[in-house]
Amino acid sequence: MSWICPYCGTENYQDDRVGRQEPRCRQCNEDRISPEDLEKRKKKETATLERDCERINEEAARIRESMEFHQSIIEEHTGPLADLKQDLEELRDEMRPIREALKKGENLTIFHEVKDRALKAEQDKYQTILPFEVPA
Amino acid sequence: MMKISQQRLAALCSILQALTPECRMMITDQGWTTRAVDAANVGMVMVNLPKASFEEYTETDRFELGMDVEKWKNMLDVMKDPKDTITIEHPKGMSKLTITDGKYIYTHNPLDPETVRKWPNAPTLQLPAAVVISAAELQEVIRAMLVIADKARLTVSKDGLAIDAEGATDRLHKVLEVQDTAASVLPEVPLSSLFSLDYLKELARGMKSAGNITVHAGQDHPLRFDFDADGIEAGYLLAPRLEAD
Repeated sequence: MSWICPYCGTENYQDDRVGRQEPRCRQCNEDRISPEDLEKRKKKETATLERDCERINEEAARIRESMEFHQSIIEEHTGPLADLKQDLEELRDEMRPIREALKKGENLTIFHEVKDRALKAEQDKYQTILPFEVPA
Repeated sequence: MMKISQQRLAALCSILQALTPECRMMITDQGWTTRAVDAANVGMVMVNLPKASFEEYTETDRFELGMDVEKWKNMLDVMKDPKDTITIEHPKGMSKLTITDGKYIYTHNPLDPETVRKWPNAPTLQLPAAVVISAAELQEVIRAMLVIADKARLTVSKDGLAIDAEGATDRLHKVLEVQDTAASVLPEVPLSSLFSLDYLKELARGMKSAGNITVHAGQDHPLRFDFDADGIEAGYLLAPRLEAD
């Protein structure tokens, strides 16, 4: 007995099963299925897809909530961080003259060392001087 | 107008400050030159900073600048970026200089050259041996010697340059690697002299920006160091010590 394929609407004449295998549509090669069974299958698949969508939406909502939470933590710390950065800049400004004074002190030490060394050499009877005249 | 990198000018100050806090710097259209001795006449520094070592050099006047090395060093510690260019201007007829890195502008009153010791006469020394060594290695070895003694004997022989220090209870012997055999003149008979490690330490610090240095030596003669540090042609002379009785 012929049957109409519910997928593509083609009329098929072969309707004998081969073993447990349903005959296939000669046009779209889908298995023979009754329109009612097809409806049931569609409903089932639709329900599965809807459940998947719902699950994905819930997951997205959870991720959004987490992002908002972390964003709020970042915002909570941004203000104090900016304050700390400003404090750091102020400390650096305070340190600059101290650093320069230390460097100046270091240079002073070096030049005092030069003078001390010359004084020590003048008093050292074993230290010779360069063998040429230095005009006064 | 003269423009020079901060790094080079700072190196010049380091070379000078090893021996003297001030000098008479001769500035001409060819560059900067100076010679100065330390207060005890034990060490001498000679520096030539040619025009080519400046980024720009349009100075045509010839004049003597009383250079307060300490003050220049302090100014460079403020204008401290080694990559910056320092511009030095000497307006005609004025005694003051303008020194700037673009951020700070110093109007600097140099020392009166008449108050600074005159240039020493050019030395005439026969130093038969010459050895090229690493400035960094010399500085390290001198630091090692200072741990145990305040003087060291430098000996140049066909093996190179050896330094020996002997303290009350300790000794140290070190042979420095010859960096350029072709440029070295190594004597068959060793030549040695004794020197103050205090002075050697400061000279080694002044030479730290040089790669290799040429050491000229004789028997109980002054030592001469010749080097090029970042475009600065410089040299030191150091008088020897006598052996204690």
